[in-house]
Amino acid sequence: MSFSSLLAASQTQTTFQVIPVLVLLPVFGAIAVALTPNARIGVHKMLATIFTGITGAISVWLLTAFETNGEFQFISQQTWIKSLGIEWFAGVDGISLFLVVLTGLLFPFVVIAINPKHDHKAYYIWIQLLQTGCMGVFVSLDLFMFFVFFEIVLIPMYFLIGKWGHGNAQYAATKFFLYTMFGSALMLVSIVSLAVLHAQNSDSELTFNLIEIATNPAIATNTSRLIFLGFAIAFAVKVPLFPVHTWLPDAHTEAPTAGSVILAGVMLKLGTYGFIRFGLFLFPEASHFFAPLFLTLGVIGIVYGAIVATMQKDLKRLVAYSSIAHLGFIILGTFALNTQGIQGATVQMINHGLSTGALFMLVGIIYERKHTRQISELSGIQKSAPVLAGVFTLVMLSSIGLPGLNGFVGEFLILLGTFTANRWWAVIAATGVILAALYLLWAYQRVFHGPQNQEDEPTKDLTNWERLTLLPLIVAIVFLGIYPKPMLDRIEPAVDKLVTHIEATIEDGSFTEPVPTTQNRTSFSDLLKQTHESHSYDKHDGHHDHESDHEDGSHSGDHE
Amino acid sequence: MWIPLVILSGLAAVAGLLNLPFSYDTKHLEHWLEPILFGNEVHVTASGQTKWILAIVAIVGATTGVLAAAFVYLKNRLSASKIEHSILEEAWRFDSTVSNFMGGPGRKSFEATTLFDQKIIDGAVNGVGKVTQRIGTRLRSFQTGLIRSYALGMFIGAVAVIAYFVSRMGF
Repeated sequence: MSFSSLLAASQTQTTFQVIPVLVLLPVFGAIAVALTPNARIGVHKMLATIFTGITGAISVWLLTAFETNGEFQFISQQTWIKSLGIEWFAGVDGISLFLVVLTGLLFPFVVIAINPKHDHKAYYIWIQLLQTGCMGVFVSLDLFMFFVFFEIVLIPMYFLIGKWGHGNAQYAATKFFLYTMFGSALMLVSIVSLAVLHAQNSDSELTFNLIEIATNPAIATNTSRLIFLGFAIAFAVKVPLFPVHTWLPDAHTEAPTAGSVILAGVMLKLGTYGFIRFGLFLFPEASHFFAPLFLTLGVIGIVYGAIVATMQKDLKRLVAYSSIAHLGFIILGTFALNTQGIQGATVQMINHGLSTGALFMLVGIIYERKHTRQISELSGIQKSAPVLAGVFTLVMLSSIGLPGLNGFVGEFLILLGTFTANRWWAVIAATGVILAALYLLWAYQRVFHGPQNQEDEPTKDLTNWERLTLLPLIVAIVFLGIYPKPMLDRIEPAVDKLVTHIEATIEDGSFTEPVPTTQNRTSFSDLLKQTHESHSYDKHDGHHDHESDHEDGSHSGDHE
Repeated sequence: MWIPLVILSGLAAVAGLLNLPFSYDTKHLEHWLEPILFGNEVHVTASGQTKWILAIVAIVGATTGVLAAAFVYLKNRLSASKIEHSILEEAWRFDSTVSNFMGGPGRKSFEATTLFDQKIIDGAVNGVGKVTQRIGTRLRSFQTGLIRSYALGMFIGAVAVIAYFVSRMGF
């Protein structure tokens, strides 16, 4: 019996609860590290590697076992606090799948690649608890459970920044914590009022079940708009969206490399994911109502983040501001409220995690070599460290959104979706692409080109170990750029379903959806068929030319 | 330098073959991009005849340019200085205009935005923190820990409550 058939058998025959394992395994890892004596530094790292590694392996298994449809899968449901209707209710669909995989894989990567400078034991405990928190957010289908994990995430990150960070770390950590708590407080009020109003208006028992509330909201339009704002402010801080973004540059700059990679890779996605899963899904009407506001803030974020990034003197701070611009794109796609936009936003969450995560890794490596991140003090690194420069170039180009690398796919879909929904926002946002090239290429030129600093020793190139650890990120960046289809195919049905849900709720007719997404299509080939069918439609109208004639002749035969 | 140029011009010469507009099957680039465009692309509708005319105009135009360049620079039949005005030499001053703008007002506005981010946006956030701290400092002076001052506070409060009720009784 081969391994794959064994996996398939276990999937069908037993009801193996994979999600709780995925979420709770790192907690056991943290406990295991906590029980190991302080002196055994190597053991701490080994334990963390094993536990996060197994979690990563399970998340990859999830990817293979995932069936491409719009449904929630691997559902696990358990009563938690019965009297309040609070449940452990978790599952994965196309939108959360890749974020779960990213969370699963980025943590072992960070554990393996980056060593803390001191307090190893505490470091590995916090980092594993952080994985649990992030994983929990992405699988939660119960509002209360979501809130708990959303908050849990703050604590490990606070300590990671405050204790292992450099410079003004305490200030940055406190700012990060208070700022996010402020948003979460509003969300808690929203969650409670939503659940209570839902129970009152629909004469049902109190429940925090996301799907139940979303399919039967039973809440007046104005009230739901208010409640939506409570959620939106929490997510906007977390994303972060202009003008509530200033915790991010501080947190990113002062955080240790591992913290920055996770912050950029996974934690910023808690906000954007929240917008899609809890904003759009729970409040389709309110999302539509407030879409112009968030589109505007997204566009401002793109241009503003890019402009401020250009003028940064600290390389890490520059990458942090570039994150604000990139996340503006994700918000833009989300509030385009059509399939391409939301799909692009979902794809871009992964892409940003990969490329910005890798950028922070590289900036961390440069900092270790040169003990400075000031762009003015760095120069001519390319001469003595060509491989470092080459890897940096590739990752940078992916961040700029060069076709052929992953960043392009998401950015393109987002711009396409935005353009069909609201073209002027897309036009302004597109300038952000140019500005991205400006600040990144300019920074690259100043850091890597130019004369070498004579007094310093020449910069050491990447070690074999560093090359090995960076390789998976680079492979993912190139692969997803050249062949994004497997990813897009898995995301699409869930997004289609969400868009259908939004459309069904918006009755006033002002909502325009230019693409035939209401039909549940399963793959791109079906879509292509539809496209060709619509072409043969044109033919009967008589508006056709030489070219579409030919096309119909060769392709529409099987539909007729 | 001539090797890269040869490679580039060679590629440029055949790149058009990727997407010949004459039949559905020859549009390889279009098919390749189709999945990501979701059928949203705009088709330029032009008849076969128009396409041929456009193609011929393009080729004639390019050939004329090549021949004219050869006439001036290879054969030296016409002095190059006659057609090379200074503005052409500076490539329509495009580069210098961009540089002047980005180096001058462009850079200034970028710097102003960055300052705005530091002082106004982040300043507001830190301002909230400072105000909270100041309020806390002021309020702290009431927390003296002296029983007598607390007792005085309770006494004043009690008098205020009684006064309120007495005033409501309305004799």
